[in-house]
Amino acid sequence: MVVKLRQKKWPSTAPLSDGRQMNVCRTKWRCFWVAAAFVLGSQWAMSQPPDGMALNDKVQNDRVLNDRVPDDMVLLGSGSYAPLFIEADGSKSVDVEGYYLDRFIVTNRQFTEFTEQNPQWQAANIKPIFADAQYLKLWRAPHPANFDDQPVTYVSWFAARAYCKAQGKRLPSFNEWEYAGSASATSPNGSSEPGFSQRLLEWYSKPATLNLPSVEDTPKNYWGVYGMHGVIWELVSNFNSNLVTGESRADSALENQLFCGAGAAGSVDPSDYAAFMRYAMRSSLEGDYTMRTLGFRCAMDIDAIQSEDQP
Amino acid sequence: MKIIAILLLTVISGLKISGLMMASFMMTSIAQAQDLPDNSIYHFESSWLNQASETVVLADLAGHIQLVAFVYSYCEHTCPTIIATIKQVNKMLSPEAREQLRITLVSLDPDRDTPERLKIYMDKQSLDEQQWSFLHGDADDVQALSALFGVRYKPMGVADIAHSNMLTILDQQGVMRYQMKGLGENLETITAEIETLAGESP
Repeated sequence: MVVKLRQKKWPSTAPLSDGRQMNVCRTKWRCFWVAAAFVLGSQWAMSQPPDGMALNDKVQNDRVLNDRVPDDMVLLGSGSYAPLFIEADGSKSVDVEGYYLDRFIVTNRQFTEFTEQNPQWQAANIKPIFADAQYLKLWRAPHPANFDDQPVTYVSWFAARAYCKAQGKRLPSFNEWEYAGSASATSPNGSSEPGFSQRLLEWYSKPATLNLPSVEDTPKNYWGVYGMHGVIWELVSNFNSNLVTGESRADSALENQLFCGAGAAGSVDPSDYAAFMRYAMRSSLEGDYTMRTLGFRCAMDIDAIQSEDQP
Repeated sequence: MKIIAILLLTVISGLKISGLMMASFMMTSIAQAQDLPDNSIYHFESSWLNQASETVVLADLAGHIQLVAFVYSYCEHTCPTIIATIKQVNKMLSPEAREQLRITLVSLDPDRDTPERLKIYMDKQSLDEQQWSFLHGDADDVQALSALFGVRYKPMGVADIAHSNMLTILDQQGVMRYQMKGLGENLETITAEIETLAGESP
């Protein structure tokens, strides 16, 4: 009798299309597992994008990603920019995947906090292989009123790399930085705007002032990134991939001996003097170099945030 | 149920043992690094695999004179010339200096140059594993190590990497003592540097 009652309580059959009944669960536990599988299956199905949803729709995707962007960063959607030199494959355009970039240049205040938490990067402790003797030199001098909010300078590539790592970020690559830097105030591609290159060159031709602006008092570009030009030179992750060849110089024979495969690189836009200056500066850098006008900001992969969302 | 419990215990104890082994390995490396001079390259904390897939930290290279070059196994242009140049340097050394010299090749192509691939390359080039070894690391560490050596490189298309042709001599504690920039140099200088370092060793 008890068995019969249980069988009634837990439905054991389901109708098939031909009218026959299919045994689904004969016992309480079998019914439980079937139900659990059904619930889990439906949850998985609901988490999948429905057919036809415009997942590849860049606008929709960017909106979703924008909701997740950290407060101190901005999202740069995928795109391309015209590099100074023609690429190895002859292309005059470089595609850049979307990524997050710090809104502002890293400040003295932020870098102080980092060195307090990581004493090995303090000027007194840093190993000489990671920074030259001028490292954080301005910290030892009398400070202007806005010093804390000014870009940190006299900072080496190794120190900048360590700072970004400590924030869960990384330095932007050369292409990522140039892509962000090619934007004007109103367009992701400033080079198409009359006078854009000239304005950059005017900024670059000003002598480096001793008193840098606070990072928030710098020009904002199309992406919402501040101070990409006219403030300081910025470090990139692959600074040592700048192989400027001596194709028109007397030392080209030496260059051929120094580098394997450094073919002649023609300039896409010989009038882009500002880009020439940036490339020349990066070519002169070493990992331990520090300069009065050399600082950085950090970047992050979009995947880095998406993976944080995973349980 | 018992089987599951035994399996779980086995996995947990395995993890603990490997954790302890890793901790002691790291402690040894840190202790080694602390004894090094401040300007030793070996202070750069990073983890590598050699051609036998064994984990290597830079401090493990201490104790020998090191000749370091950055190459990649798919390179068809100057990398074979770099290897040939190193072989020639090695041949020019006195037996005492050669005994103290180790040759470390750092791969600039971590995606394709797996330890297995590097082992095959070494066999093909007849490189004696007692003296020669390859380092395979992640792209970020390769970038940083190349920056420490002043080596520049850039992927060119899908297959080639343009890179500095440079041979570096590190002393027994990882301090950079000499760099031969370019392959057209006279090999007398680099061999003399190695002989001097070998003569300095206690």
